[in-house]
Amino acid sequence: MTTIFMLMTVFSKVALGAFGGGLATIPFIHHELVVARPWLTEEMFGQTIALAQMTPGPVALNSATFVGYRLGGFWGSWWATVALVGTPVLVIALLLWLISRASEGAQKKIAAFQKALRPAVAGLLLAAFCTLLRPILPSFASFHALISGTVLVALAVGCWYLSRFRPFKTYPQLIILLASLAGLCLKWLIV
Amino acid sequence: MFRRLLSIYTRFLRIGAFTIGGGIVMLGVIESEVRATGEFSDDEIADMIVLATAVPGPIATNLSFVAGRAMEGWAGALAAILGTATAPFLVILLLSSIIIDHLTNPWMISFFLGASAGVVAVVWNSLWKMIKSSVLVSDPNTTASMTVALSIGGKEKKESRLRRRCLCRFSLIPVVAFAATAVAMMGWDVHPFLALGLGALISVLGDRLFRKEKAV
Repeated sequence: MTTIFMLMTVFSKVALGAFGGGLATIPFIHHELVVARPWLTEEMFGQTIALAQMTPGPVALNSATFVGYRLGGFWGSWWATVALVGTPVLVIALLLWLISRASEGAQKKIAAFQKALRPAVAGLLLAAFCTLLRPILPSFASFHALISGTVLVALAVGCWYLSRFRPFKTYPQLIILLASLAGLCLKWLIV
Repeated sequence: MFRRLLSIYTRFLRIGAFTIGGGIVMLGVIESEVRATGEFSDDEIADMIVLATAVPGPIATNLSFVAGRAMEGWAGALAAILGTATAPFLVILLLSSIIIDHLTNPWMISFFLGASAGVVAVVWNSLWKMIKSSVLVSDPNTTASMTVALSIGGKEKKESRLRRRCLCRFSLIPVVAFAATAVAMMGWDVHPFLALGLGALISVLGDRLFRKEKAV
């Protein structure tokens, strides 16, 4: 019982501190789970990140399920995940509720602030995009790295071209699956 | 009502199950799926992304909550978030030990390198839409000196219809705020919360400073 309570408090904290989404949250999760508490070793943390990249779902969610299961079995993983997803959702629900109850003048100000926030959020997303882009860019470290990077960038451009057409436009997951299959076919070039 | 909730749940279940690569990718996928329903305008979608990103927590679940609420109220929000979380939860619970054993398998690595190339394309699409609707915008209320006119179609003054379409005007303030946030994140490595605050501050202050005087 105490384990589950501890898992819930820690993962609510992770959820509230994990800000900016995606890979920007990794250093914070690392601090909470590896440095501040002996819940994961460096190696296990690396595995968790790799798992999160390779399985569906956000990194924070995957690490909550993973750590929760290791420490508290099924219910540990369940409650860690609930705390991680639920805490920010409560914050959003509260915000939405407050916005809906605000007076008309205040609502205009909130709308103006949301609009002012938009370019900043786009900048944050650009930063996240660059962390996604970096691993596939060609490097000049070796001939092989150059080839594999070029192939991957070409694959990304090809996917981008395809993404404007019908089934891919509506279901971008198809693009990701297609690109993974292409990766399998190009294994001799990129690994 | 129940059928509608079920369709929201399965829609987000699909998003959660087939999106490899973490939260920011799910943002791209959710964005396209929400856009594909045809129920929301670019502005509304941009507002959803702002709300989901500017609040702490995983963006993917935040965004599915906001999108689900816009579709069918609080029940829809609950259905959406359950749908998004189901697949990742089950996959980690059931498959994590198997996957960890094969992390260094070259087939596995090439599969995921390929996926990461596809992911770049998907995320770029939603990033570009966000930039178009939120950064490269013209605001008639800011002074003319803050508006940059980009002419792609040549130098003649006469504007043909085609040329006017090529001519896009946008105000500088959002561009500066956008660039400042991105540079603060990537170059100086500041906490994302501070970077976001910096960008918001620039756009609020810029708006105050350069707003046209209202005609008396």
